[in-house]
Amino acid sequence: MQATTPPAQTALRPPQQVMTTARIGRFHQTRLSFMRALLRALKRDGWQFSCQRFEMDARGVGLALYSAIGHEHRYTLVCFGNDLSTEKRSDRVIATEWDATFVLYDGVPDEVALRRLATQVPKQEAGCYQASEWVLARANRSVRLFSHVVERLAGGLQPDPAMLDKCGYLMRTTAVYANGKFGLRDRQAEDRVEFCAPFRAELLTVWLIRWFTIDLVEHLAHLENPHKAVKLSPVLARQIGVGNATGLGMAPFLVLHPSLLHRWIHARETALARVRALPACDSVTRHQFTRLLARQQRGLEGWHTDDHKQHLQIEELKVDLAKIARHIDQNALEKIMPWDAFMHWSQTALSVEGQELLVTLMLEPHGQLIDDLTECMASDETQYWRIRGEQTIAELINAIESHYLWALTIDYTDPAECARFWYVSKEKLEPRLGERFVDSGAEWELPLAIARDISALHAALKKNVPDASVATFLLAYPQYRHAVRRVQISARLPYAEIRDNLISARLLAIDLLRCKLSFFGATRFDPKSDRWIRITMYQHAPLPNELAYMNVDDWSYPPLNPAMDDDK
Amino acid sequence: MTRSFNQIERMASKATRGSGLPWGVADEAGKAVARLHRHGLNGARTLAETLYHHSHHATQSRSPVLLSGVWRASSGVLDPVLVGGALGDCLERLTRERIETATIAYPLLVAGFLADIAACEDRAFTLAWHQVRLYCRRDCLRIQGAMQAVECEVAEWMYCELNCGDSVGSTSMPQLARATVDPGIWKRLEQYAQQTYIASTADTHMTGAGAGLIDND
Repeated sequence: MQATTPPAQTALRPPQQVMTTARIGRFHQTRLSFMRALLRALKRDGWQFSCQRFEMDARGVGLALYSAIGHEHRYTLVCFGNDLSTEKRSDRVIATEWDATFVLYDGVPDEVALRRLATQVPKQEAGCYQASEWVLARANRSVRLFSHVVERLAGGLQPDPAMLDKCGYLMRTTAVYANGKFGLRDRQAEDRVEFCAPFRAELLTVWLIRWFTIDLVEHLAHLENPHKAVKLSPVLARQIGVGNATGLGMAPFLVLHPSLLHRWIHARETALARVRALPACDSVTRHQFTRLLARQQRGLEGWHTDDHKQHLQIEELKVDLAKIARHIDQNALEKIMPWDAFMHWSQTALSVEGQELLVTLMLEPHGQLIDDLTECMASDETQYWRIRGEQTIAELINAIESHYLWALTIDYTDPAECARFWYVSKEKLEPRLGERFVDSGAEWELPLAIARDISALHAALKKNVPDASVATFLLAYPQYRHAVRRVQISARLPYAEIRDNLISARLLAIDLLRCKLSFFGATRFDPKSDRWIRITMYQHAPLPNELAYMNVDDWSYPPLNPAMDDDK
Repeated sequence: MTRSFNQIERMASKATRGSGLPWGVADEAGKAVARLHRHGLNGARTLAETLYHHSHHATQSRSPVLLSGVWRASSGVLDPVLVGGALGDCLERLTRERIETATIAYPLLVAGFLADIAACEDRAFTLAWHQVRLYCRRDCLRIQGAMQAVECEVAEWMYCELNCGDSVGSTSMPQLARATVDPGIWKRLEQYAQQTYIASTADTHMTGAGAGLIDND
């Protein structure tokens, strides 16, 4: 059997260039993103989807069941609709009631299971769950758009495309939980092959929720005016995504899963390096790229935010995309190794946000070359977990000075560099950011002060005998176990660490959220503060009942002519 | 009511931190406790008892004084959480020789640490105390000895070897999909874990997560 030769690639961008919050917080979705990989896999494996039951009253209260059937397993999205009063409709995780709650169930729930789920799922965190429950989620209506769409459909009219475009979703999820949380099913490496890739079960759930939201507005319109109501046109239905409000909870996840973070970034950087190594760009790819560029320019027109900084960055991106277009007109893609030259050019010509969007656009026409990398984006943290106690103190100091020089140069006696601390709130058991010199509780901070702790570890190591073992050092200094582990992981996995001080007053936590959300495949980032962000998921993607006959990989950029949906 | 292993791991980790041990130690303890429950062993109870002793003795006095020779604590009784972590650090020494300890509390908890390493790194270990032999290989766990001895409060000696030796006559422990934890034990762990949670003030309630309370669009 002949071994497959990996594709040629240029050198990867070094971690000191990539792993800063200023850059990972400017990432955009790519074709490696998890939503994109999920839909490709579902289509490839011939999954079947159907609505099994839809029993909602005119207020949207009731039950709906959607089935997803793969080769070996079947899952059911169980949806519970609720009549939520306006004052209770909040994005905050502190809410206790929602417009709709969901669970992804293993198999087909019988009536006994449905009765149990009906008593638990609407309670979300406060409910009790079993191994048959994979994912727990909830969502609230986007009031203005939801009502508008129901009214228009009930009147026999299609909704205003401009309103659809501005909001982008009928409901936004406020939390999606899985992996054993609250007693849900544990995600284990040996579990279902369809859920081995990161966040597959969660993103399948969100995609099915999107279908439910569209069915719900059509159903409510029909109940309001059975003789006149119409269905959403397929083109407009595809313009509807699912919103999501993401808070600080995502940030500790990213930091506390260093090998997973490495895998994600390494896959993305490897994809880029493969494209950069291509000796030439053929005319078909050139045409694809210029068309994508035009669609992305249209996408920027639909990216709305009230956040001043993000607004300026979008405006800068528009300028950047115009520069890219001009650069192509000047025969940039006719050169030898054109993509490599393009990236070199971008480093001085474009903003960081523009450089990262260029990465996204460069990867897009090269699916055959890079899509295999989506198989390398899961990771078992336990492989790298054990501390190598036989390492000497001198070797550990050397590793710190090689990989954490950036952390050693920070002055932690400056209050601004220690201004924050990460903690878990008593009320909701969710991660929060506190002000170290104002709020109480810093002694119980989460181990996310990586830079400060590794700097302290370095100082402590320097006071010990260089040829003593790390195991001996840790007997006397157990408080450094987490820091030692991180250094040893980073020495093996170069993209495992975010190279910024996560307790600094300058930290923008949303940069970490944006990084993670870009790997999910989210679009239209809309920061609501420095700590939480709204996004849109699956906008323009095929609906589950369209998957079999639609292009599954051409939805992350809006069509040039939405009325015709000509790019599908 | 059954629990997921993730729930158990997180609760055990937070409880260990809440008892005063550092996060790096606590996260290892969480994995060890969850690993024991995967095999139907009562890791949560063992940890709750261990943490009770933490709150009454200084950490250093229950840690091995030296990693050479027989491991001993200055207090006279070794802590299984600290020993479990240290054994993991000493795998290289285990390739050359067995590691022996003097008196140790709740040795079953040490088995959780080794079983986790065995499963994650494809290793094999034998752990022994009194009339108990415990064999870990990959994700299998076999036990020889009465359950009362397995769950003993104190063992006067314990040793650990790399490889499984002769496990004839031992009982293979099941690999479970879910675990049950006695509600009283869960509550005890929760009390420790509570220490790590920070109650909101009126200000932090609004600013900690960064969002307003009402947010329609």
